[in-house]
Amino acid sequence: MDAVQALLGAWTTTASEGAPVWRRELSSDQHARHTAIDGPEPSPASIERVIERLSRFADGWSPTGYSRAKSLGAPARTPEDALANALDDIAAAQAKRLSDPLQTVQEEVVEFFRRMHDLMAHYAVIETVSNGAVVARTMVSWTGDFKSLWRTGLTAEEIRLHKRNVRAALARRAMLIRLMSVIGASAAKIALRLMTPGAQLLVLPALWQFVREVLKEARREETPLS
Amino acid sequence: MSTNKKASFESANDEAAKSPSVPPESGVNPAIDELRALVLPSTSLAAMGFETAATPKDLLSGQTLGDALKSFIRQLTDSLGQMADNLSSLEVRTFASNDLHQVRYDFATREFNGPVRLRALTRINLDGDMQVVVPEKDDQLDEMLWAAHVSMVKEAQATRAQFIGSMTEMAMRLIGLFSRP
Repeated sequence: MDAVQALLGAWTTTASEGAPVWRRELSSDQHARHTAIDGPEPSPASIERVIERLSRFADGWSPTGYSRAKSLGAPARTPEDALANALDDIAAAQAKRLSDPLQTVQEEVVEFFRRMHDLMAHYAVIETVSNGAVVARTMVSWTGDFKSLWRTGLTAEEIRLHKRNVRAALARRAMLIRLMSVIGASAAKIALRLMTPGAQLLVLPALWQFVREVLKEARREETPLS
Repeated sequence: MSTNKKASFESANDEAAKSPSVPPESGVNPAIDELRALVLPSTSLAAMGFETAATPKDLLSGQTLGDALKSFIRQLTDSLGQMADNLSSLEVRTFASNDLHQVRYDFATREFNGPVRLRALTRINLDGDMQVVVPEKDDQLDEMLWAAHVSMVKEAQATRAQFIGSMTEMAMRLIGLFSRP
């Protein structure tokens, strides 16, 4: 489930912790601190791009339009093309036959839903670690009440770092909730137009594949050429 | 009902294979019923025809996906319900400890256990009233800890605004799904 974990960034939702935890180790080096907070996960800008493109696609998609595109045999050049082709296949074939090729992707969607459920169901724990020691730990309730535990003798720099860490963690949680709602709403919109019972369960993996493709595209663009 | 549902599922798929974009003759969109079944907590999976002896478990391998989606939407609707109760005030508490490794948070009681002291508390009510509690004169609050508390109050306020924005957007999307003709 690497794709799911990549999206979640530093959020882990293991049962042993009792709550989702965002833990970041911060180095004393300035550049490393910046990198550690931003992390290797997809940037907020790239997730925002997924949200925009998926919303636009779902608003504009219709089965008739994309059936015509497929009949022309156009190759899938963009994630939108690929998604349109996948939806065209779902519309045209028996649902139970189509579910098999999407099995792996489907498992990822289930995992994403499960992890998001955990993220929304519990207190979130945000922890900032520096030189192997916990600097501060903040528990955030679902509606945003804070309980922060700080080690005595903290410095202004540690306050600043923990504040940035808290902001990054909560911003990602909010963005993931938005992404989740866009995926769900888009699946529902498209399924209504497909008019096929059970279609929403087949559409979701297709949309998840789209999310992955757009993120991959964004990563390519964000990676500087050497 | 479930057996009938299975039958209509297969026949509707057959129909879809012939003409995917043509609405059913009855004018009723079965997909809407299924979506409603996902959203309405009172409707069980059996109502969708997925959980019956007559319906093989692997008829649609998306069954677990349906479970996950239902679970998420239920969580969402529950959370939206709780939101109204919990948004009347915002509370930020700041604690300090000499040894963070000895401190555990009990999620059931929502309290820290271990060598920990509450150093500041701010409660902001919906009507704008703010209550701030700090230690008395002979137990002065460390200046740096106060700065930490203030920084967390600001973050909590920003998070609350962000949270309300996210919930509103999500609610609008859910409402939008079922309000279209």
